[in-house]
Amino acid sequence: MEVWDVFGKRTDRDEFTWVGSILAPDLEMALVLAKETHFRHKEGVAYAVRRRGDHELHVGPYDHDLLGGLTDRSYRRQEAYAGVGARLREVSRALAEQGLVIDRPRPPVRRAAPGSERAAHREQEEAGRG
Amino acid sequence: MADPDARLTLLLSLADDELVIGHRHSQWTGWAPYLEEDLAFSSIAQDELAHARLLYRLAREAGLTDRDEDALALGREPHEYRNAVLCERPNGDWGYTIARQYLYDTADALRLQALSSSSWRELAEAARLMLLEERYHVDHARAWFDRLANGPSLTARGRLAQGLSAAVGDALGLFEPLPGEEELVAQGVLPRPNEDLLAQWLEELGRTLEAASLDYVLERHAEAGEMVPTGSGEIPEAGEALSPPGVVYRDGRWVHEGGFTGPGGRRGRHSEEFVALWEEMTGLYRAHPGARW
Repeated sequence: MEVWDVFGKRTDRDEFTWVGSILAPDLEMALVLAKETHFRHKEGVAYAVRRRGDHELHVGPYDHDLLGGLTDRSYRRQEAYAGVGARLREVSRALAEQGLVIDRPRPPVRRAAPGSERAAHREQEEAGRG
Repeated sequence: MADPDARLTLLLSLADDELVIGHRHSQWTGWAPYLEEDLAFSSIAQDELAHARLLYRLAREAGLTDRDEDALALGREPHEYRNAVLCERPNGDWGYTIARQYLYDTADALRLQALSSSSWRELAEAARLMLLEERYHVDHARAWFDRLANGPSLTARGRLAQGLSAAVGDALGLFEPLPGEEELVAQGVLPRPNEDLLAQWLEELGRTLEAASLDYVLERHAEAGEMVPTGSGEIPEAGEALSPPGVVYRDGRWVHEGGFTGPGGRRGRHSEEFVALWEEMTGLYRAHPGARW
């Protein structure tokens, strides 16, 4: 299969800029696959592909509304996960009353013992970062 | 407006098709032929689930049911689902999967085009919205269909042909008449009867298969008669399960002959394979009744 470079416009005012690449056997398949590999999260308003080594840019046939879909995709966004921890605790409590356990307690985070080789290594790393 | 039960059956038929085939498509996630296709097919699966959700929500908002979208999608017994059997069949290989996706999405696009002029305004709007996304599904299915049918690999062509042979009889079941359909048509809720849609779909499918020299799939289906194997491969006794119309080549095109007999998916009659799918799909929901996530 051939490598196709994928380009996108964030807004109508932008130029096409490179966003990544895909493998596809030909132009039609490249246009079909690039839409979902690079624009399914509403990353832009238009996209195009170019066979690596060629000069011709081929613009995707789908209207900007269709990049990322029109129906409810809220589960794809980070904010859809807000409050998941609190909800999990709430559900766990409710189910515990029925004698059900859906989530075992997490093992405690293991901290390196003070003075150990691991702790010294961590200190060194943190000093380097600073 | 038509009888609420008939309208609910219409919505559930559409939504359950999308939910169940979406679930089957999602089983390819991580297993599709290569990474780019894995993402594309997973996205199509998500589109189908989103369409099901939209239709379940419409059923609730129209006052046709008290159940919310989760309860409709996951809280019913197997015989309460109204999807066509085609949607519930196991994925098999990629040849069968593409054959089924092609047959399903061309049929789905056709019925959504019809529903976009429904007298039920909210349904017409939902159909127009879904139709925009379905364009990509049809493009995807056609792109793969062409490459498997006409590409350099005889194995790929053979697998597609086997898939088409296995799926085409079930695909006719997408057009099984709905209980209450006459009233839905009379009131413009369903602008075209299923039989009318079947005739158009079959003619277009016939032309596509002829162009790829794969119309022998329809010839073989015609020769095999109207018996439909169940999930276990047994041939049901007459009247036990859905028997779709026959197909014949007449006056230069493929047409159906006769009507549907026996209950199919639209009347809650499913294959054995559906029970395993249903158990997996609804397991978590059933394990924690009433839990809010």
